[in-house]
Parts: sequence; structure tokens; C-alpha cells
Amino acid sequence: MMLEIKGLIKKYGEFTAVDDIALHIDEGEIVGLLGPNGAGKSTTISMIATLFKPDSGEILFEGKDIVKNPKVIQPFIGYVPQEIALYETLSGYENLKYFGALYGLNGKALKDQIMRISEIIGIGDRLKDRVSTYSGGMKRRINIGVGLLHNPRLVIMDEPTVGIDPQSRNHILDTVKKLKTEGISVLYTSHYMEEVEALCERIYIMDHGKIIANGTQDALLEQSKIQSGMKLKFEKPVAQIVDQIKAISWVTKVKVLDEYEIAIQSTGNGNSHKDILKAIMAMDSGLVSFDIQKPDLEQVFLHMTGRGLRD
Amino acid sequence: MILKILKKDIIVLFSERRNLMIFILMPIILTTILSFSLKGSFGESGKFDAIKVGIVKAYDKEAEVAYFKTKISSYVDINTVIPQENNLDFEKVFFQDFLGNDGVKTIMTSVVMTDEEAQNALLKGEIVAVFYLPKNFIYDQLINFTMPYRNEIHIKMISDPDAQYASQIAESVMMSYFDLMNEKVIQKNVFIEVGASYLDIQTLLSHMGDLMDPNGEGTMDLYGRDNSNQSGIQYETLNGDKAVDSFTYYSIAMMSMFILYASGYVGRELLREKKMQTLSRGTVAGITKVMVLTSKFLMTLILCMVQMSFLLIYAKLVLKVNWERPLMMAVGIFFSALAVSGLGIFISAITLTQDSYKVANIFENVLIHIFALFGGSYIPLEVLPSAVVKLKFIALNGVVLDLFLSIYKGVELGKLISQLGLLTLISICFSVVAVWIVIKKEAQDYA
Repeated sequence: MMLEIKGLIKKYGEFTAVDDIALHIDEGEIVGLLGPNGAGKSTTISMIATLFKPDSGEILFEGKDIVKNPKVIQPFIGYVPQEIALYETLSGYENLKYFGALYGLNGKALKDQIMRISEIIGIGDRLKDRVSTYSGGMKRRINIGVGLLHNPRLVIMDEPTVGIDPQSRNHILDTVKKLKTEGISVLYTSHYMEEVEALCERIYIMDHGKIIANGTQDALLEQSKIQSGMKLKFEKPVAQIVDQIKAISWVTKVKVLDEYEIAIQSTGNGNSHKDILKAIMAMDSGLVSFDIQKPDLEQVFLHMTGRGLRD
Repeated sequence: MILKILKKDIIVLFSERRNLMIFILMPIILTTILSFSLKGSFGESGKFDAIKVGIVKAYDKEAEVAYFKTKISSYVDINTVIPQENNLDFEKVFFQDFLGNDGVKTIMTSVVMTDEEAQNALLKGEIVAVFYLPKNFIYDQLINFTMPYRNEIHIKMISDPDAQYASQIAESVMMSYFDLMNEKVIQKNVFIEVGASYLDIQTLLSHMGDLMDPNGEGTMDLYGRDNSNQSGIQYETLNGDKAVDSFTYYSIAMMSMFILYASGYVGRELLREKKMQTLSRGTVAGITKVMVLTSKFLMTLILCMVQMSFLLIYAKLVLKVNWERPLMMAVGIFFSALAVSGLGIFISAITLTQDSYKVANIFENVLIHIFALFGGSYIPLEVLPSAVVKLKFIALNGVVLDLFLSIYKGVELGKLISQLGLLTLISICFSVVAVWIVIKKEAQDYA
């Protein structure tokens, strides 16, 4: 286990921003941290990044307590804050050079690393321009580049794709995927559920300072007990097969929409749909078409927190 | 690590044009405007080219002196009237003692010309005015200084209409000569009127020379004082220090005020970096806030030294201020920059803990102007009420101004220890408090 958090609490006066949370990240794993605004994600990230001291709890990096000694994690962590943390009047190159130098890189090694990272983030030809002249997407890319310069083992990305164009977003997502192939762990927060779905192997859902669920996407769907839906059209009137369909295991509810169409709700994962369809086809029902409405993380999130991710 | 941060801080500083405007251009503009507009309020020592006039002689010195002697000899003994002939050499008095005086020459120089040459020179703008010394110029002055009555002397002046101010100055200079002469003639008349009650005319006349030249040296300057002791227009202060003109004063005054903007600039820096999250990024990379603060201190030190050097060089090259003690100026620059840097990081630390630019804003928009007033940057303290003058040391710029004026006037290093010590103390006090505040803040954020 690369990073382990136990019983972490952070309070601001009477307000508890992070309330007794536990999470872990393994080597080479991309972990998502989801939660609405004010859920405590950024505070958690800041404590992992050694910016704030928790009121209690442990943050262990490879078994070593970083609360007592931040230096055990600092050389290995790449921090990509939510804001564009760059000097706008300096060029992208100067920014990379400065932050690289802070990590002890210099000379040819620093130059080579800047070139490598600028290729990864796709900013090569504009590197010598002032950051203030960059588009939002380019700034985001440099922002990420700075966090990757020193070859960190754990990269913390706090909403790295906020307010950028689809092209830059895709580039950033590709970059994150590339990090995984290099064995780098990523803790990723985003408001965009589809990004988390596409990138993260495990997901923690935070709300009101607490982690209310965690696991793989399928596990979260399972935990959420949200029923998936299916619409079915037949060439024959459905009245004669409704009772048979209700009798199929997994199916919890059947609603007749018209003479030839029904909607059903079922529990279980993706395999349940296969079983239901097999059973219906075995009835010689004259099935013409079907439309599976599978629950997604957005619905899981809504179900668990009672509010949307962007509320 | 601090050097890396410092290098970045300096690059950021000079990458912002607004900073260069505030730190360099603004003080240059203000120094120049204030120096010129308040030039008349200071003892000037020739910061402009002396104006040039032409003199046309219509008189014949030898003939007029000979005529005077012939005329007077028929009434009295000429040797009694003029015991030493040199005393009454009015041409020498006018051209050498008056126009040739060093003080007068810094304001006005003259060239004797023919009428035609003078007219041409005036048309070409080579001179600003022509003075015509009339026929009997010498004879009339001899009469006025030896006889109980006065002949009027009319000097004609032609001036260039495009050089009104310059010709007014020339007229004033010339008038000062005749005012002086008139004063002497009146003294002579009073002397004769009063003396006639006690002495006969021959005895009276024999004392006339003493009246005109009480020291018997035979020379007389613009102020009727003895030239031999070089007491003409010298522009020195009573204790012998160099006089301070408006250019000198305001180049120091504006410099001492505008270095405070360096404090204001650095005062915003920590919070700005915090808001940009570059401070956080640095923290994740292992740098502490004290390191950042140290870099800001050094950056301000460098900025302030560059700013001061630049302004002093500008004053020397453009405003012709004569800084004569470069080493002492360098010492002054260093200690002043030290104090400004301390103040700067103090404001920076307060601004960071308040999480608001309010403190830095108040400093820049209010306090600097109050300091400028009490410290003498806007108006020389001499013209302010004494109660205000006593407050000058509450303002850092007041201490800096005082230090540089002392250096300019030639005060020795030993006598500047108190000012240098005060600047060092300011720097240490503010720096220590700033570091303490930041360490406390850092401890709250992280162990």
C-alpha cells in the first residue's frame, strides 16, 4: 500500500471539514475522489499534499507518518492544484524550470525533463511564450506538467479539467492514462463523472466531510441498490406474457407502456440483463427490440448524497 | 533553495511593466517636475546655462576722465578728491568687479560688442538682451561720487521678445548694480550734508575715498563688500556645508518616498503567491514560508538598491546633481534598502495572516503619503510647522532623506552612525516580527 489514511479529521472552528475518513492508494492505481462542493475533497488533498496539518488521524506514505515528517512524501508527490498555480508573467518554460529546480533538478537533466514533459502535455511550440498568453486549456496542461516534472510516484490532481475545451480535456485524460502505464499512482478529483468512470479503478465518494462509499464502479452500483431499467418492444400484444416476465428472477417491477411495449426494473449487475433477455426470448414472445437503462455513477452519487455532483 | 526562489522573484518582478513604471519612471517624472517647479524656493547654484547679454559702449573712458579732471581741477585739488585713482575706476568696477564676479557669471555673462554686432547677435538668439552704456557713463558716475549733486544715467536695454524670462533676469542683474551705486551716492550726499556742519569742503572731499572704499583695497563687488575675502555669491550655508538646491532635494526626497513602494510591492507578494497557489506548490516541493520570506527580503533589497542607484544616476546625469561621495552614497543605499526590505516583509507577513490585501493597500494608498508629508518628501520640512518637523523620524523616508542630505552636505561617516543605526534597527525589528508571524502561521498550517 503506497498511501494509507486512517481516522483523518480536520476542523475549522466548529466546522468539521474532514470527519474521520480512511482511504488508501496502491502503487500504479488511479483512485477517484468524488464529492459535491464543500464535501471535504480539497481539504483531504491538501493534507495529503502536506499543506495543512490534520487535527487528528494518520497519513502514512509507505508506512511512514507524513504528518510528523512531511519530507517523507514531498519528493515523491506531484501536486496539481485546482487553480492555475503558475506565474502568469513568466513563460511556460520558466515556470517548469523554476518548479523543477525546487525539486533539485538542474542543468541538462532539467532541460531534458522539461522537453519530455512538454511533449507529454502537448505544449512544445508555445513553451517560451508567457503563460498569460495561453488559452485556459494550455494553462491547465502546464499546470499538470509542473506536477509531473520530478517524476513523482503519486500525483494528486484536483479538478484538472475545469473550464477547458474538449480537445485539452481529452489530452489531459490521455496524460493521466499514460501515467498509469508508467506505474504512477493518481488521486483524481473531478466534477465530471464520465472522467472518473473512464479513468479510475476505485472511487471514494465524500459528502459532508465523510467517505460515504468506496469501491470499484460495479461495487458502488451494487452497494447503491439502484435498479437498472429495460424497455422492451414486441410484435405480439404483451398482456399474455406479463405474468411470465414478472416471474423471472432479478425482475422487480413490470409496467405496461402500451399494447406492444413494457418497461421493467431489475436488480443485479450487467449479467442480470442477459439472463432476463434469455428468459424472454425463450417465451416465444416476438421480441422486436430492447433498450437497457443501466444506472451510472451520477445516479449512484445522487442516490447516496441526495444532491447532484455539481450542486 | 533561497537563491532559486530569489532568481524567480527577480524575473517575475522585472517581467511586470507596471512595477518598472512605479519604481523607476514615476519617481523620475515627479523628481523632474518638482525640481523645476520649486526651483525658486531653493538656493540655486547654476543648474542652468548662464544667460548671455551684449554690452555696447557709447562712452570714451579716457576722454571723460580727462574732462572730469580738467573740470574739477578748476574748483578743487584733484588729489584731495581722488587720493587713489583706482578707487574711482568705474569701468573696472562695472566690468571686472561686477560683471566679472563669479556669482554674477553663473547667472549672466556679458560680451562687449559694437551696436551692429549686438543687433545681429540678438536676432540670432545668441544673446537675450543688449545694454547700451551711454555717453558720459564714466563722467556721470565720477560726478555722482565726488560732487554734492547727481547726474542721471540712462541705460538703454533691448531684449529678445522670445526670451522674456531670461531678459527679465538680465535686467534684474543690471539693476542691482545701479541700485548699489545709488545707495552709495545717497550715502555720499548724506555724508556731505552732515559733514558740512563740521568740516570745510576740502576736508570733506578728502574723506570721500574712504566712504567709497572703506577697506582701501580698491575693489567692490555686487554687494559692496570686499572682494578680497571672496564673499560674493557663494551659495554656501552658514556652517560651510554644500547648499541643497531643488534638484538635489527632490531627487533624494522622491527616491526616499518611492522606495517605500518597494515595501508595498513585497507586502502583497506572499498573499499573492498564496492566492495563486504557487506558495502551496512550493510548500509541496519542500520550501518553507520563511525561505520564501527571506527571498522576498533579498529581492526587495536588490530592487531598492537598483531603484535608488538608478534614480541617483538619473539625477547626476540629467539634473546635474553633483554627488561627490560615491562610496558614502553606496553605504546610504545599502542601509536604506535594508530598512525598506524589513518593512516590506513585515507588511507581507501581516497581509498573509490577514488573508487580505487591506494592509498593503492602506500602506500604499494612505501611509506612504502621510510618511511622504511628515518625512519631507513632498515639501521640505523647513517650511512646515516645527511640531510637524519633530515627527519626521516616524517616517522611514524621513530617515533616508535626512541621511542622504547629510551625505550630500559632506557630513562624515562617524556622524552618520545614528542614522545608519536607526535604519538597521528598523530592518531588524520588522524582519524579526515578520519571521515570527510567518513561523507561527506555518505552524498552524503544518508541523
